[in-house]
Amino acid sequence: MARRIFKPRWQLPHLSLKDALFIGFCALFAVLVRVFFRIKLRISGRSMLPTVFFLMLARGSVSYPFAAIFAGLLAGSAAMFVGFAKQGPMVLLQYFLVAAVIDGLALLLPGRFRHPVWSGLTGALAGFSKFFSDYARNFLIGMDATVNLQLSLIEGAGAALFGLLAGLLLPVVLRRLRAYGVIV
Amino acid sequence: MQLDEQAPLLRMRKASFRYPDAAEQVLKDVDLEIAPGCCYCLTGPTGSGKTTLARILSGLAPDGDGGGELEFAPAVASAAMPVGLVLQDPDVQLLASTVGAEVAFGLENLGVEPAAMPERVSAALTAVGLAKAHDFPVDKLSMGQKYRVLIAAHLVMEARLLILDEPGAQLDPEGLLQLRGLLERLKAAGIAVLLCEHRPEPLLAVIDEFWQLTGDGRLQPGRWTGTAVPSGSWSVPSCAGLSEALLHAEDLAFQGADGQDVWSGVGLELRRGERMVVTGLNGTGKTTLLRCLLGFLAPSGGQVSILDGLPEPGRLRGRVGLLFQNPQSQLFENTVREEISFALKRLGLARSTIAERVSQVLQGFGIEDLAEASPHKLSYGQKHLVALAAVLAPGPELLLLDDPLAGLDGYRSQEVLELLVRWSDHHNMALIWTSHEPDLEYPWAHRVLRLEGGRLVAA
Repeated sequence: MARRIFKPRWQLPHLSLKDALFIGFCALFAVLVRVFFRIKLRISGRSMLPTVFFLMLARGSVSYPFAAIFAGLLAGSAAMFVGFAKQGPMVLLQYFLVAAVIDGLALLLPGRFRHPVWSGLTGALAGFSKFFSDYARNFLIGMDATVNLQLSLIEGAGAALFGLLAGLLLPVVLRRLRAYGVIV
Repeated sequence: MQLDEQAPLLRMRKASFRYPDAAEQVLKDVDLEIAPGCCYCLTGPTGSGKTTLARILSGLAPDGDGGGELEFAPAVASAAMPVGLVLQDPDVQLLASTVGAEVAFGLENLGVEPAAMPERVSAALTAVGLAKAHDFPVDKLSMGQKYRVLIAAHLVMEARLLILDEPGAQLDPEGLLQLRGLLERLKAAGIAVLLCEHRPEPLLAVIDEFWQLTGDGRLQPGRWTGTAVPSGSWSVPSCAGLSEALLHAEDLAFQGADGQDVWSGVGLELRRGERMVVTGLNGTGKTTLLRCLLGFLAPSGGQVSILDGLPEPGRLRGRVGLLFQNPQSQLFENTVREEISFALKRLGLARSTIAERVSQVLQGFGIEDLAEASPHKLSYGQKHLVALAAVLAPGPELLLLDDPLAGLDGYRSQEVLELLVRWSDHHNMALIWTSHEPDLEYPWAHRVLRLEGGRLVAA
């Protein structure tokens, strides 16, 4: 029986084994880099640099629309079991929010993070999502609303700055991966 | 399931393919049929899509847009290994660290009993003429030997269609003769063979049909009219005017992984502007010799002096160029233009000079249209051209070329050769050129030497 050599263009996006492996690698590195660089720098939001970078790398490299969310949930689960930041299940929310911003903006903005401006903007906004996860966590532990708002804003601003840095780094890496044919 | 000898093994209908970011399709409406026990030869210019077609036939279609249908005969579709493909660059396909493990890898995947494997592996290695122990390390093999290992690795899996991409680019005449005998046996057993080959002369006796990929992506029935073997109209050059010695080697020896001498007693002197060819069969140590001359490998005995000093790669930057046999080993930039510019930037040249030199080299090699392409996604022949352009751009005093025409069609080979000889004459650049084709004529060379039986002798 004759079979089509290539998939038809209108086919719904599906997650290929190659893409799934790549997402897995990104999730793994998002966690590993945090494990290896657990230095007490006392700079708010520094953990967003590897988190945003690898989640954006997952979405920038794979055409699957929920790639960052998949990578975020994988990395978040691993981080939860490793016991990052002593947040328990809240760390999963933190990874999910970052990933959701990335996947959302990848659909809205052109070029899937190839351009430094759009990539930097995505990184900053994804990083700023830490404001919401921190606010929710602090609210649950009963922190005063004013203090919570101020503290979460400081954390969110720092995270946005590190997210911006990650976003600016990404196009260079994507360009190299594309040149080597690792990604399309 | 029995194979119907009349029915084709495989039918391809209206196959087309376009690489991402490419303006034109590399394959357009390709129709073909492959019958059991037949040998086909696919020819076409460098970069015309031969490897792409081979990959699509073997189910390894590259990323890109395409269409068309592929139909296998039921007996083939149900076979453990319907189509086997040996790619042009063996390093892309090698997985295991030893010869035996590499050949047995396919058998493991097919669930063959471990006790039955050694015999089948040995038989496959004998069929391709590779007399190496099963635990011999793969990374110590030459390119031609690696290619033989991969053919053996596909033979053991009993593929119904065997596709060989440019065997002539890697195998020496002895290897091609063995391959011819092997193909005859495969054909008699009903196995079809597809050769993607620029120079099929040694295999003409076994080829039943020629196909040609034209530059516009169409597949046409072909007819072999002979290769445009690089010959040119050079007069035999004389060494009379050459005086200053650039390279001097005395009593060099090198021991292989097994402790045996690969070669010994090697002595040579190369003068400025001199062109020297070193020929030898696969595995005789041509690449090793080049690496020893440049200091990338330490010889087990003897001395080398190059450009009035010891062979230290850092000292020779910009003055000596080396083209590896596998061009992928020396390509690392994002675009062809950046690749060629890299060495010039390291020399600290002005931007305008770099741009001018890059344009000149791109034009000289006829690859202006590839300037913004990724060098890693080009065909093997095109990669060879880019790597050659990159080593030539800094204007070295001495250029060492390891099988530089491998994978290039006759027309391109001629162009590249003319360019190198012209450059050598104008810039007084010395050349050492290795080749696995000892029977070719090298009228443009001042001296032709041969590595044979562990000695470097005059050809």
